[in-house]
Amino acid sequence: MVFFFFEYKPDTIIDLKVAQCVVTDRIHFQNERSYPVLCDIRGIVATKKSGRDYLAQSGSILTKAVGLIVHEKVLLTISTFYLQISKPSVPTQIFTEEDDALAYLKGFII
Amino acid sequence: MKKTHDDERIVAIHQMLFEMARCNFNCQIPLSSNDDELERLVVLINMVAEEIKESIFHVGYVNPHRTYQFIAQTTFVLDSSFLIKSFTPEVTYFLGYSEVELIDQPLAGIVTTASLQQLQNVLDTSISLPRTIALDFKPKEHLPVSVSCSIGKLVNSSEIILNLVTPARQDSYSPLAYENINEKHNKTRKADALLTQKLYDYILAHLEDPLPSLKVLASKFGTNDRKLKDGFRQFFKTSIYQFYNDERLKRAYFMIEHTTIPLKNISVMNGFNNYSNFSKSFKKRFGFSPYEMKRNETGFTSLPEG
Repeated sequence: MVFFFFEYKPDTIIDLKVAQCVVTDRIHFQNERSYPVLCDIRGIVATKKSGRDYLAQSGSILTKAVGLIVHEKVLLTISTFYLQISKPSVPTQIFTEEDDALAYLKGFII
Repeated sequence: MKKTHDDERIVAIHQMLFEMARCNFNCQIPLSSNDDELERLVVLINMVAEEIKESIFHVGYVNPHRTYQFIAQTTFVLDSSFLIKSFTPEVTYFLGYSEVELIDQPLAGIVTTASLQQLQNVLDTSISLPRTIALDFKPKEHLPVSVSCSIGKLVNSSEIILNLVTPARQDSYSPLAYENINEKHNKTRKADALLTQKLYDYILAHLEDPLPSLKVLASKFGTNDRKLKDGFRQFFKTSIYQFYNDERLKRAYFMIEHTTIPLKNISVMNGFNNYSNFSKSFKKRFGFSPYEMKRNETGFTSLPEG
């Protein structure tokens, strides 16, 4: 496996609890290895500050880079806010096309 | 029909902005299922309000990327001659004194003379209790902190109780670090705040590497080491190294708890040059060594259905 794919369930609200589950589940799945992560966040409908902050910091463990897939204007605003204000500690970019995201993440495979 | 709906949303935005102007950041504009420019503005305003509420009003123009989850109620019990008879455990974190240094000691040792006088006045005059006044506490290692305290009496007892409220950072790994919102701000230039924020974010983003020397950091941020050091301490009440070390130890704790990565590797992944330093530092911070921690190998936490 070269990439790690992650997809949120529909109508997810990212609060602290959800963010913690997401990070610990991902780490268990990854089995100690670091990957570039493709994160399909189209299921997210809202976020809380505590959740954003948690993902930006603890969410970086065992990730090399993150590509976020969005489809709606509102989600673009939420994810732009996350990048600029919560400041994830690994390279993170927003994409509308999965292929573009994969091309970006390829640059992080060593 | 669409127009009426938009009008309602615009009214809600106006209301929210007025609330924010009144320094009420607790409201949120209701979300709709629309995916349009107006909805983008709504989510943006909501998130901005949340950031302002959690950041600026707690540490003063620096965003710690953390959430204050709850308020801790802190209480002192004094006898009629102002000897400290008892207190809630939070007091030791708040003031930095140990229990032994406080129990049966005069309150005069931890508040300023003026505050003690004020307290005496409240109790002497026949003002109805409880009553709230600001007392200046003298923490062990920091500058005096002004805190609003409610002064009251217990039923059927001559003892006096002091109640104060301290906001607490939510921190799942350690005793809570208490900070006081009433702490007097020094005059701070906005530039210093921006510089300190940059350094703070830089440290968080580089926990896996050893911390560069103060000189190297200073040149990286185009300033001198004194300014960098003092600015950081002023905003975060801790040294640059202590903050870095604390954050990487918490990260290491998280990794030990949630992964099966060998401890030696975890130590390297969090910027430690050798395992013995890591182990010592870890034990000092958490009270037990890394190998004494129970490791979670049982699989997954379940995501709530959503």
